[in-house]
Amino acid sequence: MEKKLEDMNLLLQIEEMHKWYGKVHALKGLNLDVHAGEVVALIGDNGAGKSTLIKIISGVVRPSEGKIFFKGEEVNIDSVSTARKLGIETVHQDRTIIGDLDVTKNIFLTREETKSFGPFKILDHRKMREVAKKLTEKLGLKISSPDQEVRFCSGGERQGIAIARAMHFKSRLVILDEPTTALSAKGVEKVLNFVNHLKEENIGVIYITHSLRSGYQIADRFVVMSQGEVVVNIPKKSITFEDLERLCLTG
Amino acid sequence: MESSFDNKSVSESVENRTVSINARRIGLFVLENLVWFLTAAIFIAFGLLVDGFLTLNVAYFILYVSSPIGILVLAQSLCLLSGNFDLSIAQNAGLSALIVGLIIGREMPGVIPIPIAIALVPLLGGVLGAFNGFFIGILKINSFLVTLSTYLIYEFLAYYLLTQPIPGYHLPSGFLALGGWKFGPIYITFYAFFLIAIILSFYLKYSAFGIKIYAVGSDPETAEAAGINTGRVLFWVYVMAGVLAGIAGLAYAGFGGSISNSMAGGEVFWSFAGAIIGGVSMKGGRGRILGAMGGALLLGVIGSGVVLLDITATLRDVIKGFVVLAAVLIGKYRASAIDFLLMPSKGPTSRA
Repeated sequence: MEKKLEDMNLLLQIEEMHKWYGKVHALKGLNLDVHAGEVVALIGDNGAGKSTLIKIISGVVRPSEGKIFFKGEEVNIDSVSTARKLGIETVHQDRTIIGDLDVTKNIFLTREETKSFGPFKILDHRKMREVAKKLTEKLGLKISSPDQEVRFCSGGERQGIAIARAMHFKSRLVILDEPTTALSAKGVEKVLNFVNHLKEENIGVIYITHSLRSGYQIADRFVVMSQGEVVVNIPKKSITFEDLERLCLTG
Repeated sequence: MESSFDNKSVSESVENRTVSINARRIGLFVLENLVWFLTAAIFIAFGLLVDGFLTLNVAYFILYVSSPIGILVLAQSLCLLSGNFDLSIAQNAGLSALIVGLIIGREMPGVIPIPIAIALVPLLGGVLGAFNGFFIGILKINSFLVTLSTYLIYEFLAYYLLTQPIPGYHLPSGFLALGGWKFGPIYITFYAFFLIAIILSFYLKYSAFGIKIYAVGSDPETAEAAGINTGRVLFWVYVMAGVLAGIAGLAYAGFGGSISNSMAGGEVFWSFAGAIIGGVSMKGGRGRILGAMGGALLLGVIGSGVVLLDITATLRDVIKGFVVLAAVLIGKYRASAIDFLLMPSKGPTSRA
């Protein structure tokens, strides 16, 4: 335990993580560190174990073996809300926001601000609306009003709303699951810009991507997974884009 | 020359935009409250067709006939907003009132105090709703299949339990108060309907659970990923709908002045019609309780209007069916028109 606290900046540590789905060995003794304010690009083919890993960190799936340390303390992430209480927020590629709800309601969903109304606690729509307005302005989202229903927002803006949510609730670690997959070049640029905002707030980011180019642009470190194991773990300063590309191609 | 032309076109487009924003606002207001405009229009149309329709007494009558079905419309709206529906809602209403009526009117009269007997009906409705909610929310079975089954169960249980109607004079009179007594010129049942609509509307807007209902109805997978226990939300939605069905059961009993085994018989269809005319989406997650309330009143106007037309009862129902079809069509175009107006106007560069 003492060892864990040496590096004050260390946010998430995963040690010897195994996951079995029946006879399928999805994670084979995986180790991973993420620091505060660091963007770790998690790269790998389908079936490499990326989504299993993410599901474990975000509390959707339980590991078969292994330990998770968060800020130096061993944690037991047994549900999505436990992960959120720790400050772990996951932004899925398409399971992120609810189209029929407006921007404000999406940001505050399940964590609404309330005020007293006689003996009752009722939702404080005005306060939430103001916060949402500030957040979207800060992120430079082109949203006409916080009352706008999200189904009219573009893909990049949707990711932005999810990131606004993570920023407002003081997340310490944000997992972005293929945030740029369905986006245009302009949308990708926006998302990368949002990630920079997270970095500025000293939030750790796990950025899962197929796209090496966007990953290389934004990440501080690259973790390449293959068949349930980490095969490459290298800081950006030690590798050129071409070498990273070659590494990923050869596995 | 070039620059002055540009300036002119810019100022013109700014002006156009201001106009279009105002037009948009008015358009949205009309569309979102369309059911009320439709209700008024049809009310006036009947007024022109039928002598003596435009009187206060007819208006009170409309409020009266709208209320029992109105409470069922609200219950159905809750289920629809959550992305599901309840085919058994009217049978729940009938069965809840029937069971309590059977106890106090035939099996053991005088044992249960009237206020408790009255409270038992919504309670029983809630239990029947919870039965639906258990299968739909907890076991995650399709709501069509579950409520189709409970429709049959509740329907034929009512026939099994009661063959001969219990006449009103065998029942303590207070039991029929909700559906049969007046306060001022208006029946109590309308106050109940109105009050429930206001409370429910407020609750959906100002409670976290209300937002959860919309979230689950709109996109259950994302709601679940956001940490909402969708099964639990659906369970409680069906309990709430069941409680409302129980209250509607009391209203139907009072309306008919007796307890029979087919009190709210075919009302389930009208519960859908009212909700949909009121702008509640069949796909879930969209719609407002006050709109559904308007939908119920519109049904009341149509129902009262055709009663006063000089035609046979069966032809009346045919006409009602056509009017509902027309309203549903209008509702469909209303939804796309609202989308068109809500679509944010943005420059071509901002579509990322």
